[in-house]
Amino acid sequence: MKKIVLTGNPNVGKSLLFSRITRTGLVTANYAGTTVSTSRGHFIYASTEHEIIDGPGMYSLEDSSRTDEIARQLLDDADVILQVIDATNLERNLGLTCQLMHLQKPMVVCLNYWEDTRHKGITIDVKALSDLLGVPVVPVSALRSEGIPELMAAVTEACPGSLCVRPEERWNYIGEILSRVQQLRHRHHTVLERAGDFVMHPLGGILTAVMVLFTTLLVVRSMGEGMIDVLFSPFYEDIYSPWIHRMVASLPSEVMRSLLVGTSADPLQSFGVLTSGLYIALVQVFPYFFSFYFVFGLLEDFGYLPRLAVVLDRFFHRLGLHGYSSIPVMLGLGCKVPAFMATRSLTNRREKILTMSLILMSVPCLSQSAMIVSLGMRYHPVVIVLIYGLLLLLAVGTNSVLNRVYPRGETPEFIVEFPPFRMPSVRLMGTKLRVRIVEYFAEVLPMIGIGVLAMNVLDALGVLRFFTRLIERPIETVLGLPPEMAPILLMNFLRKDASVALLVPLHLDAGQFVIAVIFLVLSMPCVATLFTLVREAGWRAALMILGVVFCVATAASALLHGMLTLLV
Amino acid sequence: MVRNFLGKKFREPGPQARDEREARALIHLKNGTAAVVTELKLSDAAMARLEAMGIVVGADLVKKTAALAHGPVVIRRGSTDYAIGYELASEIYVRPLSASTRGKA
Repeated sequence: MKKIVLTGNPNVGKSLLFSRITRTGLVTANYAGTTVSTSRGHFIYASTEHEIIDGPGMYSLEDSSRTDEIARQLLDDADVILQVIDATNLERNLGLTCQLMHLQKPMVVCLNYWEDTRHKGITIDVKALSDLLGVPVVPVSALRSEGIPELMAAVTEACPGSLCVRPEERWNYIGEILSRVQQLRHRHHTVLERAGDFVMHPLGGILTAVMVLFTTLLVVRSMGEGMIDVLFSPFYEDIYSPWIHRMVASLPSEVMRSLLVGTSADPLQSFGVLTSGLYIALVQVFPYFFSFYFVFGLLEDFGYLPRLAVVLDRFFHRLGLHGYSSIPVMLGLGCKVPAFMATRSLTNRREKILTMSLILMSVPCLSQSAMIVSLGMRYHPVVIVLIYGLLLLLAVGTNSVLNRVYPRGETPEFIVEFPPFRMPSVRLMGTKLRVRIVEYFAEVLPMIGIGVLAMNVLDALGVLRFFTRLIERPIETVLGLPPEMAPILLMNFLRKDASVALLVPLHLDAGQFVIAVIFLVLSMPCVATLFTLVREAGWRAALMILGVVFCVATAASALLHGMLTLLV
Repeated sequence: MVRNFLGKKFREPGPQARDEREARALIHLKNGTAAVVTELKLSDAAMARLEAMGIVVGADLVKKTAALAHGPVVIRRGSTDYAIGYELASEIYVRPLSASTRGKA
């Protein structure tokens, strides 16, 4: 079985092509650095099975980040290299082609975004390019699924390239190739290109960023609330809840009934696996999850995120980072796990550590945010503003201090490629949303189930009472919170949204709610986040980050409790 | 050596000196101006990253805009736009292209 490795510059459509060839769904986006790990798939062509591997993009064969390292390692094991090239940017992409030819492996060049060459007034002589490179060259439109069979046929004819250029002559030689194979026609700017220019204007960029962030918040909130009110809440209350209670009522065991549906009629207080577990995951969190990833997916596919990174660059400079760190931080608004993985594209370890600390501290993940907003509204909207304001303040303050004390190495350079603005494809958006929804339910339902089950078992064994006795005094004295917070801290490690929901039966006042939420958000990560943090940063750095964040959480919560005690 | 109209001696700049006089850091290039890269005073790592994007000595580019308060500089190289951090851009030296040589970038 031949091993085919997809490679190429970042954001040339490798993952989309992989999805088209293997007929699987991958999360794709219109900015460089979307793929940070490898995906493997298979396809059969001419009765032969092939393995195809999609890896992170690379600008050159020299390693400068973890993703470059992964991409480089994949090439060593490849039987055939399938280089994907952005046909609208032939010159820069051929730089990598020259380097790949030195590996002397069978190769095929795929000219992706072929449909865009016509719009941009670019004509490429494919036959002449193939003759000059000495390898098959196939024009493809992965977006429209055009040219895929021809590409698969070309893979069987792959051969090592004939191009052998010394590095110092590379760009002159590429210039010569372009003059022979490419013709450019003058054309006027399209509406999307004019929009791109406006977004890059110093004032236009700031204005757009403010509008985009405001609109995102508005759409996520109203769309999420709308889905809860019209769809999910009526479904749960009128259809699901009566049905599940009827089903469970026939069970003979009181313990089993209590475990499955709890004892209270309020789904947030009953804490049964099939009532609270499903209510939190489906009614309270999922609508916001859906609306957030719908809006975020639009921004990703439109190509706006790298432009926002440029606008935020100066702010991130004050935290010892560059604007590109804003993309992992924005991903962290949804879930910390992909956010930590996205830090792989950062070139410098210092930058990675500071970005990870910022991701952990700046905002809760989407699931927890949904619960905070939902419960915070029971007190007053100011409570929610206060929580987010304090979290932002603590994140900026902590990162400023870390920036001063963390040893400085070589300063990373900020170079970002802007993808062209593209109208998002409904089909791609749908695939991306489907992949994220499946991942969400695959993770959230078992975790909440395990969490509720573990709580009940620990309670039956007396572990919770022991743990509660152990930390009730510090929690009461330092944070001013009731001792029943102890099991909630355990749940916080499994599911952060469920832990916030568990605050309901404690009947906290507004001040206590703010302290409890800040402590729950910051004091510890959930189990999935912890393992990802350790994998990406290593044990030592992960413990250092978690230690700092825990100390900040305790100090801030204690200080807040002290201030509220003095005021009241 | 030549004399000016007041009779004061001065060294006449050679062709290379005239080029150097015209060259300036990318951050000082006017927005919308096409230029050619003349010198990169950068670390090897930064040089390698720019080289991979085709930003090498002799390459044509257009400075499109620059963010406020020493923010990134936006350039167009070929058909792609890049944002380059202010510090990095201040170490890239370019010479503006005259109207007759423009249009290549």
